[in-house]
Amino acid sequence: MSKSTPDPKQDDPAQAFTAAIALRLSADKIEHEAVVAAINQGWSWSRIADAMGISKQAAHKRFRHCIKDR
Amino acid sequence: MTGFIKRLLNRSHKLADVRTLKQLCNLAESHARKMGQTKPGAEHFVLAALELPDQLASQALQGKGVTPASYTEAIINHYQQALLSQGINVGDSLSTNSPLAQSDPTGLYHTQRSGQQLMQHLAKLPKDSALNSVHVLQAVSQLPDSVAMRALQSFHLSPDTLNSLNAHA
Repeated sequence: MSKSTPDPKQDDPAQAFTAAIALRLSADKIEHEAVVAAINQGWSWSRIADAMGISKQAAHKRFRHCIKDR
Repeated sequence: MTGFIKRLLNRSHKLADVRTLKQLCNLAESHARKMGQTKPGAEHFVLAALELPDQLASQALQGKGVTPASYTEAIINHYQQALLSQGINVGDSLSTNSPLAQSDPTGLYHTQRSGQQLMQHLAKLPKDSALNSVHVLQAVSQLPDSVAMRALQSFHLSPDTLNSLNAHA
C-alpha cells in the first residue's frame, strides 16, 4: 500500500468514510489470507494468536471459518 | 366472507414474504462471502435482489446496465476511488479473487449495520403486494450515503428514481 500526500481540501467526508471502510475491508482480507496460509503451513492457533496480538480463544472464534477456506 | 378472504390473503402474503426474505438473506450472505466479508451489507442485499426469482429488480435496472457482475465492479471501483481520493492505493486487495467459503444457511442472519438499516426500511415500506425485489431497491433509496446507493449512482440511478420504481409485477 502506498500513500501520497492527500489533498488538504477535505470537502467530501463521505468519500473519506468510504475510504476508511475500504481500508478495514482490505485489512480484513489480508488478515484472513494470512490466517489461511498459516493454517496451511501447520501453525497452531496459539502461534496465530500471538502473531495477531490476541488471545488464542479470540483467534479461534474469529477465524475458525478459515478452516473451510483452505 | 369478505373478511375471511382478506385475512387469508393477508396470511398467504406473509408466508410468501417469509420465503422471499429467506431467499434474500441467503443470497446476500453468499454475495458477502464471495466478496470476502462475513456479514452482508446493503450492497449485498442489492446483489441478492437482482437474483431473486421474481426478476422485477433485474428487469427494472437492466436498461441502466446493472447486473450482478457490473454492480459488484461498481462497488469495488467506489472503494478504490475513495481510497485514491485520500492518496491511498491498496492494489487489488479489494478484488473478489479471495472469497470466503460458503457457509451452510443456519437461519441466523447477522448483517452489517447497513444491512440492518435496509431491513428496517423494508419492514416500513407500504406494501399492497407480497415482498419483491423492487422493494429492496426502494429500501436502499432510503440509505443515500451507503456504499449500496453510491454504487447505484454510478449507473446514474438516483434515490428518487429507485423510490418510484413500480413494485407490481
